[in-house]
Parts: sequence; C-alpha cells; structure tokens
Amino acid sequence: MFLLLLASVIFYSFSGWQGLLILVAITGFNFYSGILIDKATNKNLPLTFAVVVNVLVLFIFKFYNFFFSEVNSLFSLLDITVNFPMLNLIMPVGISYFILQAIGYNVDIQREMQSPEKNFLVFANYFLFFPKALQGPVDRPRLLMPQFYEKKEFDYARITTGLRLIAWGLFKKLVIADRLGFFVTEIYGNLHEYSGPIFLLAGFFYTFQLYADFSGYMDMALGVATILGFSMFRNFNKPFAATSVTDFWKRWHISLSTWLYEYVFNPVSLYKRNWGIWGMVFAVFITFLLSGLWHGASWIFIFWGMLNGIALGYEIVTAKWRKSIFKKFSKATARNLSIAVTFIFTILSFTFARANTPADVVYIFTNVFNFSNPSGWLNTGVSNFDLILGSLGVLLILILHWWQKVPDMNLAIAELPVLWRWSFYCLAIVFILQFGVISGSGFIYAQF
Amino acid sequence: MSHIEILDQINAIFRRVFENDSLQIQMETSADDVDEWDSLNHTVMIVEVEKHFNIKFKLKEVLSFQNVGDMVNIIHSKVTSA
Repeated sequence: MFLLLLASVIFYSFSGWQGLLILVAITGFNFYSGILIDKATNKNLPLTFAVVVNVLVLFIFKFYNFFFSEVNSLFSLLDITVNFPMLNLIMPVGISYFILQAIGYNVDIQREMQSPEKNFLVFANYFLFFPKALQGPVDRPRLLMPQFYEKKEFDYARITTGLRLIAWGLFKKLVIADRLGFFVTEIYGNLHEYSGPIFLLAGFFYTFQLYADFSGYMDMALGVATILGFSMFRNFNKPFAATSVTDFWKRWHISLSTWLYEYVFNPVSLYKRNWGIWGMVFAVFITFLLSGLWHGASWIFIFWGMLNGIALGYEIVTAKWRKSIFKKFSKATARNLSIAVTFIFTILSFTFARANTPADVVYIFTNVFNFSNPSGWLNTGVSNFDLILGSLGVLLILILHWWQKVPDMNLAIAELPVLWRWSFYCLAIVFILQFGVISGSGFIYAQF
Repeated sequence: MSHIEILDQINAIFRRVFENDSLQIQMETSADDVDEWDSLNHTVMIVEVEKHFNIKFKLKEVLSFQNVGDMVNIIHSKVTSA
C-alpha cells in the first residue's frame, strides 16, 4: 500500500511539487473533516465547513480569474475604478475530480452512508490513486476505499485483461480520436475561413473524437487499475444509443452524472418537491448549470450547461405527452427516432462546448446553411488518409453502438487459442504504431 | 396502523403513480425492481405518500431510503407518534 501511494505521489509530482503539496494538504483536511463530521452531534456544521473549504479551493484555482475579470469588466462599464488582481496559479492536476470526491465523501458521512476512514494510508491512497488522477472516474469512496484493504496477489488473467483494456484505450485515443482531431482542430481553429455544412461534419467528428478520447482514457485507467487489482466505475455505456438527453447523461461520464444526481439533483428536487414538476425542472437546471461551470470557467460552458438543463427540463415537462406520441409508432420506429433526435442534439451540444467563444457559436450556427462557397467545404488541408482513417474509426464506434448484444471482446480474445491470441496482440501493436498519432497530444477531458 | 397496512396503502399509491395496476410491492422492493421507478416518479411518489399519510419526511430521511421497507418504517414511526 505504501508503494502504491509512492507511485501516485511520483505521478502527481510530474506536474509540479506545488500542485502535489496542495493535493496532499486537501487530502489531510478531508481526512480530519470526515472524522469531525462523524463525531459531531450536529453534523451539518462541520459538513458545511468542509464543503465550503473544498469549494473555495476549486474556486481559487479554477474560477477566481474568470469571476473577477468579469467583475472588473462590469465595474469598468459602470465607470467605477476597482481592479481585482488576477492570480497566476497553476491548477493542480485533476483537482476538479479531486474536489468532487472530497465533497461526496463528507456528505456520505453526514448521511451516515459512509464511515470515516481512520487509516490515513488507505485514505490518501484512495484520493491520490493515480489511474483516476487526470480525468476520473469520480469514484465513490464507499466503493473504492474498501478495495485498499484487500490483499492483492499476482493473477495472470487479471493482468492480461488490464493490458487488453489499455490496448483498446490506446487504439481509441491514438488511432481514432487523434486522427479526427486533425480535421476538428483545423475547422474550429480557423472558423472564419469556412462556412456551410462543413461545420456539421466538424461537430459530428468532434463528438466522436471526444468519445474516443475520453472513453479511450477511461479504458486505459481501468486497465491500469485492473492490473493493480482494483475495479473502478465504468464511465460509458453506448452513449450514442441514448433515446433521450436524460438517457444520454445516464450513459456518458456516468460517474459524474451519478455524482450530480446523488449530491445536487436528488436533494434539490426533493427539497422543492412541493413545486411539483417545476421543482424537478428547477433541480435539473441547477444541476446542469453547475455541471457546465465545473467543466470550465467560461461563458461557453455556462451556456452549454444551461442548454442541457433546458433540454432535460423539456423532457421532464413533456414526458407524458411524448409517451402518448410514441405510442402511435411501432416500438422500433419510436426508438430509432428518439436515438436520431438525441444524437442530433448531442452534436449541437458538443459543437457549443467545442467553440472557443460565444461569438464563435453564433458564427457557426448562422453560417452552417451558408452554401456560398461549396468548393471550400472539404478543402481543409487535412489529408485524405486522416479523413478516411478517422471515418473508419467513427464507423467502428457506431457498429459497436448499434450491435445490440456486443460480446465481451476482452473475454473473447482471452479465450482464443494461444497462437491466434498472440498473433492478434502483435497485429494490434503494429496497427496502433502504424496508424496511431504518436505525438503526445493531451486528453481533452483533462483540461476540465 | 401496522406495517402491513401501511405497505398495502403504499401499494395503491405506487400503482397509481407508476401506472401499473398489477404492481405488487414488498418491503424489500427497490427502484431497481420497478421499471417505471425513475427519479421523476420517485419525487411524485414521495409527495403522494406524504399527502396520503398527512406526514412530512425530512430530506435526510428520504435520501436514506434504500427500499420500500425503509419508507414503511419511517411512516410507521411518524403515524404512531402523531
């Protein structure tokens, strides 16, 4: 256990000792806050204190500059000479994920769903566990923490399962996401050189780039955790087969969605239950506004969160009406129609999130049906090789989504005869090295 | 009012809220066992149960419900102490 903690500390130290020290300090704080909440007669007081401190840390590192630059702008508009200084801080790696887990831990103790961890080594191992450092999953302490007490022994089958997960994740990241990234970066980086339906294609490709990038990372993180003998939250479940926006958020970044459900939507909707259906609409709007803010300190993400909040609010209000409409269609037609509408919304929503500024969003949506420059639509400078390989990657993802009962590929490969299995491994490695983008690009979700 | 009586009365509320006339709940029944029991219907059901028994759950109580039995126990303690 000490070695594992050391590995995590070394992992975090790559991004600077300053960030590591801050994370260690927050870990120490939450270790004692958990014990304090458990002992207190009135648990609400220490819980409030713990939540405020955690939120404050996130605010300082992630939102301070955005918030006070907006305040400065407002004051200058009003001709008031107040100038809040900007901070030049380096955000510790994974702090957004870290804080969510810390808040969840403290709340669970207050709700008596979790006992405070008394062993600091276990506690620090859980919080600093390096496979989930960069992009989660936002694992619940009650699920992951007990696993640090289990004795881990060498298990060949477990290790090979983890390695296959890592290979699949690498394939999605390097061959699919980063290939699609060339086209997406070109379009979104030079928006005003393009117009017309190419924006739809860029949004379409970005949706798959994001999925391959994020789910690829998750497979690698799960693979590393599996090798070490841990099981973590599965963050994706065929998101493009979602039949509603609500369903989409039950399939995409599941650990975050369920966190938001447990700690924001559920308490707010129950607190406002006397408002009837509007209590839930209010709760879902607040939930997604916070989700947008969590994703990034910018107006783009605030609007993106609101857009999703409005969509889910609409689905709550029209649930009965939509059910009666769908009864007029066959089950398959209703399902396919719902998947198509949800998928279009997903592309629009991610187009929104990918744009750099609100002005870019306006430019994209006002020019998407501008057909004045058809010759320039596909003249992007991105090679046909990248486009074809990226498109084949999209097709592969779609096939895996449409395939109703996808067999467990990991298990299927494990059960192949040894010669076939190792031939497959060699082929997979050659394929990734040959067609992957080995340039060391970062992960999209790590910025959140 | 006994636990069984409370369960019977809750069953009628569940059937109405979840629009399922053949639904038969037990003390161990949880949201995983009923298709229609989503977050939307959960809140509606809580409001209906509160109205029916003329009680008010605390937020912490509602959040602690793991199954129907947990809710029945709290209703029982509230109606007997009233």
